Amino acid sequence: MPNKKQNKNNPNLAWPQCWKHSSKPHNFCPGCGHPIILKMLGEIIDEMKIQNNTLFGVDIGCSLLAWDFYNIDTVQTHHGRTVPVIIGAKRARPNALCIAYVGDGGAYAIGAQHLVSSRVRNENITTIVVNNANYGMTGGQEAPTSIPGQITTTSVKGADKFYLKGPEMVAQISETPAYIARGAVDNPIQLKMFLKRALEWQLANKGFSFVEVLSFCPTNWKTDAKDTLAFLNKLKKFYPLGEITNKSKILNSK
Amino acid sequence: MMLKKGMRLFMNKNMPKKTLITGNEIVVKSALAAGAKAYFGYPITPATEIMTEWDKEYEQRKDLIFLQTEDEMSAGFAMIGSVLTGIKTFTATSGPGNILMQDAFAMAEAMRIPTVAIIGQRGGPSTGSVIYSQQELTLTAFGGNGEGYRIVYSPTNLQELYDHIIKAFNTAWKYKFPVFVLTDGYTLKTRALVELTKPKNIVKSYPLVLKSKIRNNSKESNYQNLNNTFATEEQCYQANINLLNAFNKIKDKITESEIYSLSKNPKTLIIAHGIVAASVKQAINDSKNLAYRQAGRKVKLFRPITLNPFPDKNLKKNLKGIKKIIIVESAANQLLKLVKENIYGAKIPIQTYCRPGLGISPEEIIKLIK
Amino acid sequence: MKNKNIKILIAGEGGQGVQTISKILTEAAYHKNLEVSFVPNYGVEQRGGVSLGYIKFGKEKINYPKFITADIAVFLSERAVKRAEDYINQKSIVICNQDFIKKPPPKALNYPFDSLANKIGNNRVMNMIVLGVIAKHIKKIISPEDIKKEVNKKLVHKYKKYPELKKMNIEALEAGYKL
Repeated sequence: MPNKKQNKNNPNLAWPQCWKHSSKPHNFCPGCGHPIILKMLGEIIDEMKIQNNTLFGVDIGCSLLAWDFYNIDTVQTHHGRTVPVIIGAKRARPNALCIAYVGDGGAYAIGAQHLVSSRVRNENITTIVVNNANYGMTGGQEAPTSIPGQITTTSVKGADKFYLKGPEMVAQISETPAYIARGAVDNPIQLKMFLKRALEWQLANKGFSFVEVLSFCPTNWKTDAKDTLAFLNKLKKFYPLGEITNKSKILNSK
Repeated sequence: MMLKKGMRLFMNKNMPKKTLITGNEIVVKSALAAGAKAYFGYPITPATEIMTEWDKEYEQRKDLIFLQTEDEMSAGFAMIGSVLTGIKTFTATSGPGNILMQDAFAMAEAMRIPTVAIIGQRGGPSTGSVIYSQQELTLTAFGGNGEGYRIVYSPTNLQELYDHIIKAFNTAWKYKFPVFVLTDGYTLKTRALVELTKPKNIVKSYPLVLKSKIRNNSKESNYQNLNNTFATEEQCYQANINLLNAFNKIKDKITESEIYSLSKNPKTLIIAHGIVAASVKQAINDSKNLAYRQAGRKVKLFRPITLNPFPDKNLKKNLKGIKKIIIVESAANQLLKLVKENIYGAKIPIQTYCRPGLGISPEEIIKLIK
Repeated sequence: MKNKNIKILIAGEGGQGVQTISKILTEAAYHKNLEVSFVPNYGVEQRGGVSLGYIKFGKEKINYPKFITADIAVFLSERAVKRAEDYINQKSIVICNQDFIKKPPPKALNYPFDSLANKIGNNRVMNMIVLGVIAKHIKKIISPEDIKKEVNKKLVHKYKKYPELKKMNIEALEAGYKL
């Protein structure tokens, strides 16, 4: 069961202690997956007692709405450049927990070369990719992870048959062991486990750690609650959940 | 003459120790003297040797940080990340690399992050030549999608290159604006005598994030949430006004310029910067030749040392009695544009000697002022 | 309003229908062969936040779509007032949503738009009541019939999915007009 931290001012709130109160209610859309991920992440940071030694980088796109989400040092960067900023910070401050929190565009399109190089060099940072298969903040354009036939504002007749499998890609790039996983917001307990393992991997100085999270975007999917869950389950068929172990390059959901 | 022990000491005391060294090597020595600990960069002629020289130092010392990144954008942004944690960090680039780094420089400008970048200008536009020009003034000072709240030094020789880089780190960390040392491919490859003095004053760096592991976590203001996006036009406007005011406040403290003349009443003002200004100086000195002596004496050189903020007050002061201005630059319209903007209203005719991508020799300048 | 163009500012929370009624007014003016311009204003979030519409129309040629002082200003939430209260002066007609605004600007006309919408049967028709009130104030330039026509044209897709909305919207429009 998740650790329910009680808020001093309002004992009914089960918020992570590191959540910033003055920025709530947050600006994410109703039904968005980000708050679920940010809650799991917040709980882990509370449990690890590392709130004061964490640097949280956010990209342009919906992830930027998390710039003032936490009482954690946060820097909002330019689009696709969160990974290099966090790498620079980590190399300068190796004992800090350094997290790059980006979307599917920042990770797999405009920032793809930075992600690839960070894997090649086995950078000791944790990258979390929130994959909702579209570019949310700009109104729902096609993303590298949009699935075949998906209607977006730049693929009005349906997206093409090509799509990018991020965790599989970063696994294939190098033989060096890394922590790589894919979770989803409809299974927050598993997600929390993956995120925690990724952060522990970094804190143990083992190198590259990476978690892609399949996330909701009812606003741009134009779905109601039932259809939102259904579309997420459809995404899972293209993007299977699980962790990649050293021996197998295939995601293994346990 | 036999040198006795005392005599030798006397000679050592009065003769400053100069080193025979190239521009690229100076950059690294100067950065280290200023307290730089980290370098992120990408190979690009003519600045690549700065990176390889840093790598040599890095291999020998345990306390330095070095990374050759996958491109210049990554180098610029990694520099930002490192600077945020309080480490003096720099990079070096040129031409197309300078263009890519504008992404990072724009963020540093908006958020007042004290980055230091050495720009070794090469021929433009586009890939141009790998050799030399003065065509990156506009890009370096004003290249982002903002107003150019950046400090740009233009050293005229290797000694200044050394001095300006130390000054760059001090200025950056004291005033919190991105600082640039705008040099060129000739200077970086020149080998000459330089005095590698220990700086008298070093401004300390300090963390902008991760300030302390021990914090009262119920106080929101103990955490830094840094953004460069604003929800409304009004907030964006206010942020711009804050930058403008902060930049204007330091103008008088940091603008620098030099006047050089052999005459008491010069009629012609030559305006040039960097290595071209050195060529002008050389021309003024060389006009000892009888035929040109008169010409050299009618001329005064105004050399902006900070291109941004521009030393407009000093320039305007030095327009008194001037009948003609000559702008000399290895570009078509970069220093020219900047001067015009800063002397607006002056009714003195401007002549230009523009050689985009080409060096300008003292002989050419002597012909100009004949 | 003499011969000068009329300037209307509508401000509310994202989701209250500000952009929809702005577009309907714009289309209505266009179909009456008037000069018209409309510029929306909102923040980065896809949902929520303050949403504004600047609408100008009339017989005069329009060069610039925004303005500093509105002839008619509509505020639908407290945050909207904060965001846009500098856009009114003594002469502006100010219309406020009583249900959400506890401290309206002086001389504002206050109506309980949300309560009225709930009475009609669906909160989603709230913006139609607002449109009805606006229609009343511009009836000399655009007739309420023209506004009604435009509403039906604009919402034809919604009506396919929710046919009961058509009757409710017209009811809301007329209710607003009578306020």
